[in-house]
Amino acid sequence: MKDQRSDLPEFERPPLVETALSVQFAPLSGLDIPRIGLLWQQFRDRLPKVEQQPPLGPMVERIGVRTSLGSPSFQVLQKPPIPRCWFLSKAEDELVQIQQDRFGWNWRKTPDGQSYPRYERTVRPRFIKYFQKFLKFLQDQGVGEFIPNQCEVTYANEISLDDIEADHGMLDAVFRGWAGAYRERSPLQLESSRIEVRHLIPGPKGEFIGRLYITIDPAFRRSDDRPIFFMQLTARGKPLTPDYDGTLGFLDLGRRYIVESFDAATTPLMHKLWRKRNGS
Amino acid sequence: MAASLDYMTSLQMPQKFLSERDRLGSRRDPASETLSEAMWYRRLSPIMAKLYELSNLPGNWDSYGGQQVQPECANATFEILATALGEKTPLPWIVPTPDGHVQFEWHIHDMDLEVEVSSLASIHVLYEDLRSEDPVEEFELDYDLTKLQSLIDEITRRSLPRTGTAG
Repeated sequence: MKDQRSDLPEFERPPLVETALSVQFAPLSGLDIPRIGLLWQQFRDRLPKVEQQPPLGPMVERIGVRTSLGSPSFQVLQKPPIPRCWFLSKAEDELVQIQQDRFGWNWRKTPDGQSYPRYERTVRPRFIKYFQKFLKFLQDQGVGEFIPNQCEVTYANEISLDDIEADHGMLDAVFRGWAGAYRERSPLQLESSRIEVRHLIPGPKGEFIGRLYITIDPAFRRSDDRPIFFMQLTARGKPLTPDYDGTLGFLDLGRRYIVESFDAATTPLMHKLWRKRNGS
Repeated sequence: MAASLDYMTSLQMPQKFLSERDRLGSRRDPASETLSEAMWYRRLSPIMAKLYELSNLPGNWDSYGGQQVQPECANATFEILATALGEKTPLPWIVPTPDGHVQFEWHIHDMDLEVEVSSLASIHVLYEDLRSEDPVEEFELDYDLTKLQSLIDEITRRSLPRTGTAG
């Protein structure tokens, strides 16, 4: 989770299985199915597979209003929704996603695939390559102006418990935020625990620009049914400036907070297993 | 024109591009809706109905060339109201603007508060309080709605029945 040019913690064997970078922008009604098809022509050499998914609703990080404990989501649509189109690589380890108000790029680990290709060296340049093509396409086709309003970085980790002989009740062996005292004092056997944490992300002047979400779920690895913790970190917020540079600026910042928070949230025991090399 | 509804979980979960592979169903939503959820849904229903109605207005709805309401504005209005309103807040009037935006407003208890939503991150607020020494204020908001929330809270406070004190 680090490269030579940064001061972030680095893990030789991180439990990372998927990374997603995306940007949400003011909806472009001209980005319709025929145009998305034209765009695919530019990507299909490397991303030959196509799938259609339901579009994601708009997401926005705000501050100053209440966080409710459950609210119906509501969406008005003026036309049948344009699907979210997936352009996948042959090995299905790389994915570009397009919908009328979003552009995204994913890397994911496949069973016989490579380990995490590193942010600075591969993830960021690869995202930029597709993103620039997408923006040029919007311009060439006169689709409309790109006005980003939210950016998002997600890192998903599958944390194996095999090497520490732990189960879902032993959250404290993996994560620093959970005290083992509860497990020891509880009158009942602890079967599993789930954690959700939110942090505020400050901008350059200390102002609110977004949030970092951390969720930890007990799960089972499908390949061998062994218990794992699925840890997902998502940084979402407004671009540092409402343009291309500001979009990349937030993605870099969000990724930095994700790596630092991953390091802060997990125990030295796990760091040793993942072969942590740098950072305090 | 169509509207879709679905229930969100307790925290505003990241709505990500990730696949759900290798995540088994360790989390189970309760089979029954709680009363508080049902009551909140009922409270927001008139807002949803109004936004749906406005979104169905044809172009030139005001016979002066008024534009159709933009879905983005209707959706952002709902998102703001669903988080900014309290249980005791009077519901606002919701009207279209000639530009295709949505405006919600209160004219109550010596306060006039008009909020025009022109996109997810562009909100214009005009506020007049006849009980204040500095009665008129106008400002723009994007993601930080602290000032708007405090004005809505003031409307809520003024709308509550006064409690008398024993003399």
